[in-house]
Amino acid sequence: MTSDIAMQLIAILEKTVSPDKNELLSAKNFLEQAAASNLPEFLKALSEILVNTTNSAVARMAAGLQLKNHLTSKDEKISQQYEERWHQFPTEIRELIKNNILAALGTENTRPSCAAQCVAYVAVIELPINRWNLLIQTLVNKVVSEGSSEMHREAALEAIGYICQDIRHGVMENQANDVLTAIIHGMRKVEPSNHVRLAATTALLNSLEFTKSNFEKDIERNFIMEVVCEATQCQDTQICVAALQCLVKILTLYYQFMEPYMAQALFPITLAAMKSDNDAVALQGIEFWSNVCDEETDLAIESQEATDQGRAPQRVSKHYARGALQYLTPVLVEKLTKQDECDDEDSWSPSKAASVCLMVLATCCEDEIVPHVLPFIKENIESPNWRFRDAAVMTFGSVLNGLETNTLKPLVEQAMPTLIRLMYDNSVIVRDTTAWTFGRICDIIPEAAINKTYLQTLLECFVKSLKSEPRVAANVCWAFIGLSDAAYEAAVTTEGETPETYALSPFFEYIITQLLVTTDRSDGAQANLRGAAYEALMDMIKNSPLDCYLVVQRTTLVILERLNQVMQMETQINNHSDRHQFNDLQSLLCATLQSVLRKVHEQDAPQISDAIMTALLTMFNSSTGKAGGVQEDAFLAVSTLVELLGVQFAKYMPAFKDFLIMGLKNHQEYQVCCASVGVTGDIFRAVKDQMVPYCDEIMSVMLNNLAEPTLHRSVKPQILSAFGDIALSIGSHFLKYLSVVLDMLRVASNLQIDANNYDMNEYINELRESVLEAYTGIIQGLKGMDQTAHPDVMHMEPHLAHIIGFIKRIAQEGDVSDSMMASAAGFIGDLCTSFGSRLCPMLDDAIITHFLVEGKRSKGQRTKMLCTWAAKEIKKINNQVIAQ
Amino acid sequence: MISAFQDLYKKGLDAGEQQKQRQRQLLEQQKLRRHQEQDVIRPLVQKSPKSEAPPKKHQKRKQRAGGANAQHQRCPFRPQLSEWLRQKPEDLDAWQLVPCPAGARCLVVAKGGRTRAYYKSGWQFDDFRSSLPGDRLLQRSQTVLDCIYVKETDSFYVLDAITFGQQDLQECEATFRFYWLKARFDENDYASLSEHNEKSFFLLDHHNFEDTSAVEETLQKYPLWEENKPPLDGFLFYHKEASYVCGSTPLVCWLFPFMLPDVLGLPVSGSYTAPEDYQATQPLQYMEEFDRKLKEKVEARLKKKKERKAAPEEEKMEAQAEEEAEDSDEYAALKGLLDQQRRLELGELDMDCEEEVEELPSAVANC
Repeated sequence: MTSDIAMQLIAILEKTVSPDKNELLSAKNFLEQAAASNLPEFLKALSEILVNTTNSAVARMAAGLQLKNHLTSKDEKISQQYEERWHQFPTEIRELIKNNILAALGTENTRPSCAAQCVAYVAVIELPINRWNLLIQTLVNKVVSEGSSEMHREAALEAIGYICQDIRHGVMENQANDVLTAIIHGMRKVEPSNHVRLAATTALLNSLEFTKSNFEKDIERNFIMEVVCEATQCQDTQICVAALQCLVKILTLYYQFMEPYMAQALFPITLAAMKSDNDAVALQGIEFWSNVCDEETDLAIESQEATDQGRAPQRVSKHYARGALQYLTPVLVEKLTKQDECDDEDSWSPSKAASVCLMVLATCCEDEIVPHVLPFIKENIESPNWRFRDAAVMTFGSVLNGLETNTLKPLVEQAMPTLIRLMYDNSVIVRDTTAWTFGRICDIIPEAAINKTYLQTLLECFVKSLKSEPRVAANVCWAFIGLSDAAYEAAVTTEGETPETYALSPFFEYIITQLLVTTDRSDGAQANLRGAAYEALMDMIKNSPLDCYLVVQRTTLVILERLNQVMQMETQINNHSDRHQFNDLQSLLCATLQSVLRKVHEQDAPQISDAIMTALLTMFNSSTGKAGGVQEDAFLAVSTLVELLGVQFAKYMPAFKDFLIMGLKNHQEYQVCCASVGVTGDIFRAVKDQMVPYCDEIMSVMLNNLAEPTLHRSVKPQILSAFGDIALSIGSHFLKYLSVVLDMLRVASNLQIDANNYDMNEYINELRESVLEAYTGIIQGLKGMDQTAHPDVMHMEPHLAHIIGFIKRIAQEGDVSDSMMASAAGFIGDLCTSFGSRLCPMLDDAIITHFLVEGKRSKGQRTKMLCTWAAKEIKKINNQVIAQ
Repeated sequence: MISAFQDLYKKGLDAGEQQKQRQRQLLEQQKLRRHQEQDVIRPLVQKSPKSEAPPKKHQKRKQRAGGANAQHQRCPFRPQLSEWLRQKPEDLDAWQLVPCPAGARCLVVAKGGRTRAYYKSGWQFDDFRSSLPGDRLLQRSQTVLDCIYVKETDSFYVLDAITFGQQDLQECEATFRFYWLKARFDENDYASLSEHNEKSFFLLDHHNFEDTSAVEETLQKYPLWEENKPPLDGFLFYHKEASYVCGSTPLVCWLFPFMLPDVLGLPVSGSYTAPEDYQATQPLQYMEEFDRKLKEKVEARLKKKKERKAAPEEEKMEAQAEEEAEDSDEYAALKGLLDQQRRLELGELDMDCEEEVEELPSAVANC
């Protein structure tokens, strides 16, 4: 039956592995054309080539791959399209293809089986809609029936494995028994073929999620566990690793059933695996215990929550990690001494896994870990062998997070001199680990680091290390962040008050200078050193006390100068990676600018604002300024400047307006749009009616944005709130936008809560609060500042019934956040002062009264105040009515 | 991923997390500023001196003056006004005695890196640097002190406080407010002049009536302050448990020194002489006569204002400008008209807003 066309197709398929690039390309083109002209026939032809055992192995394999690639894709959207396309095929062609690929299963001589993949991806499409119901039974039969060949068993199990991996949740549960039967059959010790056992073990790994009901039955679970444990003892490493992976996953999925197996089987198996010289095996052993710790930490939290709520926890920790602690730690610290000498960031090794396992073990077992690790640390931290020094520091650094402050503080203080010495170690690995440990110390227990006895030595050591290898220096930058937070916090006597001075004051200028030097290092791109140095700089500035203000001022000028310099560098960029770094640098400079501006005293602002605004405008104007990330940060910097300058910002509006509009129109990069909406609100609040000349354009862009379906929804509440800012700032100038804005608000306020959609509800609540803020701004703006409301506010009268209905809906639907409560109450008060007694019939209402009574009990000061005020205002208008 | 824990290895600074944190902070700040702006128009000031909200008149004035002109801003707070102490309280031990120098009653507000002083009417009369929290330190918080300004020494004598830096004192009992002030003044030198502290602040003494000897000593000491600088005007009586009221309160009372023997039966130094129209056995009569004279002045002034208001629009604008220019002169004139003393309590009338003026006569009558 091999037609000429089929012969030609076979020849082309064989060329898909050709070493000749031209042949490869022409084969690819041919196949693409064939698929485009008549896909069903093409796939049918491929399936016929796959099933025909007389064709060459290469042709069959290539046919299988081609077929599979037209059934599924890594891109979910494309996969969806393929699925729909498959359903469009004529039934007889679909059946033919299915028969062919199923018949091909087990007839290939190549591994892995291409037919198995084809079968699996058709199954993933058809099983959820109840087609191809015979398939699973057929596959199971191929595995369990006597006389089925090794290739048949293996290919069928592979197919089962792929199906389990990719099938939609909830489809396989009904067939779990059959599938499990086949898998366990293939995994048995008596199975002669390791290929079959491996395929079966891999399939088990993929099926564990939907075999819950089997795990709940003792007999079935015992049997599964027995088979898996046996497989971990297999001489074949691949099977052993796959079986250990199964144990890791079983532990997380079915922790509560593990008690009968833990002491007898799981503990000895995994401990032995950890000790294995085979890295793949050792990694799974360590992974098992990391998962135990993770699970038990979660259980401890769950249990605490249950206790807090006065109920019994649903599941409890069996504290396996604590029990195993004394056996695990010696193996882990030993693994730590097996560092890779040339560390590749992407490679994973038992020594890295051991460090991480110690971290989670410390989190889980807390102080109990100390006696198990302390002797090792003490004995080895000054070892002549760098591997042992490093392992000792790594152990110390890894367990920090788990310990109680009272245990940890003396340990850190005691270790400090040694650690400082190790920062000057010959081995860069030791220096790096020590710097990381310092980063963690300053993050976790900074109060131990700002100890006067060694603070100066420590800082000298840090500053020197800023010149060390990029990864060492980056960790030191991180340490500076923790240090400055802690020093500042220690100096604050009254919440929110900038202290006069702090422990780092004598060194502040020097540290800032050195951090600035570090940001300029030519190797700053490595280990994200440049970013880390700028972050440290920002944090130091943010946490600076009053006596460091001169340095803050000077830093402002440096940052400004750099902003100007960096824009001149733009012409020298010639590749993608340079461009990326360049954009990053501009973003960092804008962020640093924000942090210094926030510290600048109001009276110093006018001296620098022109230069800053000029730099920012130049940046907006440059091509880099068009890059989303940079624009966003630049807008945020403008916001800070607006806050600092207040009404004086008005003079920049003529120059800034076009960029503001550009930002507001940036739908693709919604963060940019969001930042520009934010800065719009800031400017209106600061500059007030001086913004009127720009209002038409800004309002029209923002209204368009609301109607724009492609704009990310998170921007829309921000826009509504900004309407409130605008209305409040320009008063009656807002009248001309009133009707269109009220239409928008009406639509937004009519969105209904859907009890089943948590995400949507969160969004709707956010939207509702913005609607309230918009209404508030409008009413306040129209009412004016006087006690007697300006007549303009009467334009709102026709809408009051709807608006008050909206407030009642909010009040009734419950689950009102504190800030929403404050917004609603404040708005109710505004309505009373604006419209007086005519609102009485609408506002003197049980729902609203109850809502305000609730609000008065709020912990939020503003909420409480506004609810009290609103209730008083309602009472006032009531009395007016009575008096009439 | 090979391990579920791979990301933890030597995990250091998370730059992405740092950035997110900064963005969150900024969004929160924007929201906060929006709320502050909204609360400006709401008359919540009495409830919360912490809110940045100046009353509506302030806004109006600001707009009229064309922008945020720092001069002629009005004070967002009202000082606490006393009544006459007409009878000896039964629980005199629950009160504190505060001697007051003769001078101008004012509120001093340190905030946003400036310190501004406002007359009782709410008009700003001075703007300088001080080392109070809100000015040199802690610029986002504020300090509001209730003071007497003595022109001769260019110094402020501190009676009380509504807030001090981060500490909101309005709802606190008087004893706590005084304790708090004393602790702050003991810790810090607000009296010495420097680049950062352009005016002197002195905390006035507060005497507990339970401590009879201290009270006695104060009443007998003449002059109370060295070289009689400043001279004593009278005594304030604070109820220990009273919170600060922005306006008139019966829990703070006033007497001239010469009245103490008659009202309280407590002897004072013979150097405090009574005016001619004071009859030793009739302190209440004197008080009423005093109030009546004052009311006349107020009404005369109010009438003048109303005439102005009735004027056509253009004239009104002119009149307003004129009025602003006149304010300080009028203050001086009025001060002269009133008794030499007692200006602490009644010296500066509200010269701007009508409804407040309308309320005033009753407040005066209550004195």
